[in-house]
Amino acid sequence: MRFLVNPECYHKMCESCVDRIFSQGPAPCPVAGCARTLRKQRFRKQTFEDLQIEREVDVRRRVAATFNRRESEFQTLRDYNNYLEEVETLTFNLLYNIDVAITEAKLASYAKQNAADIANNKALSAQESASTEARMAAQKEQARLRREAARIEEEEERREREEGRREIIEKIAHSTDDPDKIVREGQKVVLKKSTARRNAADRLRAQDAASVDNASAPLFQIAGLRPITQPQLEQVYDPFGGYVVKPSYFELQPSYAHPWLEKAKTDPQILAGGYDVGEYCARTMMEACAGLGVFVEEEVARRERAADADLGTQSAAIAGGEGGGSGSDVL
Amino acid sequence: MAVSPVVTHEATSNVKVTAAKAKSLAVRTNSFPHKTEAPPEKKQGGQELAERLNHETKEKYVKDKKLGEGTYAIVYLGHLKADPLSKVAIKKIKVNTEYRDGLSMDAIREVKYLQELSHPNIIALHAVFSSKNQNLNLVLEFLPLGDLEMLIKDSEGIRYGTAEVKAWMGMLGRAVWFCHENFVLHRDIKPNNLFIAADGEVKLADFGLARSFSDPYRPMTYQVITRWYRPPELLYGARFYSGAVDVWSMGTVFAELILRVPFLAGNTDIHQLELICQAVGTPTEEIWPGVSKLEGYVGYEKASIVPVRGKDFYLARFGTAGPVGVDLLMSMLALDPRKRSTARQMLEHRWWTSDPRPTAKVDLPRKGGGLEKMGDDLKRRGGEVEDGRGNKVARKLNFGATK
Amino acid sequence: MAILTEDDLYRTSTQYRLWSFTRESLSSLRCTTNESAADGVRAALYGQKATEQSSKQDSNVSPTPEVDYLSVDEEQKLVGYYCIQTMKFADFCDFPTNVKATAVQYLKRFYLSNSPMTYHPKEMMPSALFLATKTENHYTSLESFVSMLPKATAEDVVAPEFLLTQGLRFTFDVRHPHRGLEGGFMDLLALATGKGQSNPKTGASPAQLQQHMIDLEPVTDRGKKMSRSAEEVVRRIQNAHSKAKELLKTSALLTDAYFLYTPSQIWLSSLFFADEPLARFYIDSKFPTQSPLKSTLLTALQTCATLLRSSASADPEDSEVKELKRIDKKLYKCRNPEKIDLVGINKAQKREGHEDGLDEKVIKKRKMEREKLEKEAEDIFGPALGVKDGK
Repeated sequence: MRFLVNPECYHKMCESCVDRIFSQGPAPCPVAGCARTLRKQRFRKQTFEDLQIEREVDVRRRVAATFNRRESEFQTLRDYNNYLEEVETLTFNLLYNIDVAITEAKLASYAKQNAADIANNKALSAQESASTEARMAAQKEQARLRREAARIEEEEERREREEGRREIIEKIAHSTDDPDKIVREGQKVVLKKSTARRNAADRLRAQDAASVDNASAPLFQIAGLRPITQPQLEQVYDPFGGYVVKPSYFELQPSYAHPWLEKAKTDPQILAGGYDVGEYCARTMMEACAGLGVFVEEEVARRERAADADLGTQSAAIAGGEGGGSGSDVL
Repeated sequence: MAVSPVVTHEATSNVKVTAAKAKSLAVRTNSFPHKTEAPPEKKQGGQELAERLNHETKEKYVKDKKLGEGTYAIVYLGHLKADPLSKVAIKKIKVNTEYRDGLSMDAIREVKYLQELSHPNIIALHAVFSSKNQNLNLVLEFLPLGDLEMLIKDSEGIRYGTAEVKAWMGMLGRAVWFCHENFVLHRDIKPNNLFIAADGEVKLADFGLARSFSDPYRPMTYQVITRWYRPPELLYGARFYSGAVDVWSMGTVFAELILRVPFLAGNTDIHQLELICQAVGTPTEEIWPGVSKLEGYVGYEKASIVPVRGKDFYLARFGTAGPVGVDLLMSMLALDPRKRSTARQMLEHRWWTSDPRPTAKVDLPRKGGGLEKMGDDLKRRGGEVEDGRGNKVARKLNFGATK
Repeated sequence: MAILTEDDLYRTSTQYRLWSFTRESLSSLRCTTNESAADGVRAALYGQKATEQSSKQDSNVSPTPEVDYLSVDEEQKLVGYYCIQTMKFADFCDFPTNVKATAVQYLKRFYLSNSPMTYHPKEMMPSALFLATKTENHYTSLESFVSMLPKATAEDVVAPEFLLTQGLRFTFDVRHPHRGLEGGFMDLLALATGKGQSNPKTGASPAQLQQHMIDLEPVTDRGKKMSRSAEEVVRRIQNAHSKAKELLKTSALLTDAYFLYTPSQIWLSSLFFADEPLARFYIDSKFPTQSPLKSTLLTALQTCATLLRSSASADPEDSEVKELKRIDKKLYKCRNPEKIDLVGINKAQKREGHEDGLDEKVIKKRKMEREKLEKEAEDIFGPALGVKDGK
């Protein structure tokens, strides 16, 4: 004799009684004082000794099915912990029947609110647990579905065109006015119809995506979700790494007349080795103008004042925090 | 930026250095503790200002682990006393051993140019101080992910494509362009002088052979740049050359990044020239007017003259870089230095903006075990090749790749 | 987006960051150095006196006679004199201008944070020049350098070098105005021959600029009536250029110009000194007429020009020589006894280094052992069975 238990009220019955009472359809629980209506197919074999544990496992499985977020989705570990904390309080309420109605409502609203994420996570965990072949099968399945949808759409398209052409022929046959005007109108009609159909398909797809978030103010809200950042548009690669050397006081001339340099520009012995007088001119012009705008008197004074200020704050800090501050830091 | 000797807190954090940000360094009178509360060490009162400054800088850094040791320098991993998280590499150059003429030229050059240049793609020199026994200590930026050579050599472990090559070459190009804008020739560009920082940025290091552009009629030495990356004009002993020497080295690094094997691995200068003739073409008066005037130039008989290689020849070997990439490579490997593109022209080439887009810094492939590599790279003198790899037989037997 | 103008590039140089001062901070820095050197000498003399006392067990402990220390200006005069000696010595070995200028600047920078009382300039001079040949890529081997030096040995040159680099705070790059002058010269030549770039700010075309140059009022000091023509202007530029060049080779080095102004301002004020109307024209061609920057620049150039004019002449008259002799005699008495023998100090530091090296190894070994034990302690299974557990 095997006992079965029903997750509604967790009362134990033997198999034969279950058949006897519930085979005709849903019936109240035979246990005195428990007026819940039970259904035959909900009964199942008892996995745990203790009914209490059985119930707890069911509740936890149900809650976990809804709250299946992963740590990677949260900005910080603390956020994830807070989330787990809230889920645990919900589970606790359900287990110990503390304002079950509100908790159930919260559960339901969260489920509706995040159906997409729940599905993703479920698929993700399913994929992870399933072995690779299963995954390959799943992918093949999805591909087949996509092909199927494409084929149906294409068939629809061809049928419409067929209809359009038949209409045109009939119109030409019956009416008297100019045939190619009729043909043009006919094609216009076909075109309008196919675009309408395609728009309808798109709207359908968008609609069911949008349908998820039309719920009223969400009862149950979780914080700290890491925003999914699309990789931002990478800027053009700058080979100079952001560095630009741009002289501000002079523009380098292609060549400079300097009697002393003439020989260096012509002597093959020098030129063959690759010596470039232009590089020398660039250097002289750079050194001619480097530091024109640098006034040592001002800038060094400013630098010293900054250093003094820095020292001042440092000694103040040390003076303030009398206890700490290792001796060597103080100058 | 050189850390200010004045202990102001804002200077200690390893703030990302950009050239544009003026480096505030105050050498001021009232910052020196000439009043009573001078640090109460055993030194007698009037101890010279310079030594005190030096001592202050020294106190700021703590040496932890030794990363590598060589004849030229010892490299330690260290950190700022104030902020133990910030790691630095401390390179202790042995001053007084092998070089009787006082401070060696390499040490001087390295310190001189690193103090002047500050750019995200050039290794930052935080501070310099001397330890008791007159050894020079360079506090350099800590680059944990080893150098580019490790990535290239590890062909099974590290996979990379054109986009990564473009990203690395962009960083190398920016480093050399910035040096040339400051009129500094690096003269030792090669993969194991290019270190990778924690965030994936490639940094040019080892300014042991660098010098500033020379004035007209001032000869320069041609014994520079490791042979595999040395341009033809230096192999011909030219005494007057320009930034084009660095661009040629970048070209060979570019080729090596694509082939994953050194492009022109010559054992002697003569052999190197032969390889250049085969791979790029024989330098003749037509394509390089005046080349016969160079001291080291040796005439080539008609028969052995290899015409300058065309685009198709390059595409056959460097197909992965794509036609635009190959065009850039050819412009960097032009035999005549005057026809070779400058660092600026190289960065203005359309390859950088054409497809594929260079990978972002953070997703570039990286390799562990950089710590030791950085140690033994930094300890080598400028221009020295790691003896393990130099002209070992194993390298030559590798028929597969270099055909 | 970092837009770098020439000024920004100059601002990243160590010369701007570490070796630029206001007049007031420069003088107070020199006072501090002078004071601390005087303390050092007093302490050293006192120490020496004490050892002499104890060795001679002399009963009456006479207080050390108050030594008369050098004042800041005397120190400046002395350092200035030895800068002139450095320039003469550089010319003697016909080193190029930039090596000579760098050596002088090294000396001046060294004596900002050190005092002649501690280290005598006579000993620092050869080492500064030798270091300058190395940093300016004008490499001369130690032997050939010493052969040119009458009485110094290789040791004397190399010994103070490390001290010098420490005094320079390991910055070897000195930015000179000489190449800037060449740049200005070329720019002026281009303007004079009508090929100069039209000034975007004032919109004057090259031809107008050239005409404007010709109308510049002639240089009055030579009195000769200047004929108005393009060649005349070119010759005028060349004269101004050579005069300014001389100025940059001598007085710019001897004064504090490098600490107080930037190289471009120094060469422009030397042009100001040589041919004022030409300099003013050049500034007008660079800046829009009423920009505030121009006025501050003009004032700065004027003060710099006066500074250049006031420098001690390259070959001091006998009155100055007498003054220098007096200072030298005075210095002899108040030198820091401990720091006289530089070669000895250098060797000691190196030896000390080695000994330290030894202690270092011992300390390191002990540290490694401690670490190993700690690691084993943490190891859950405790140290390896075979190892005796003694602490």
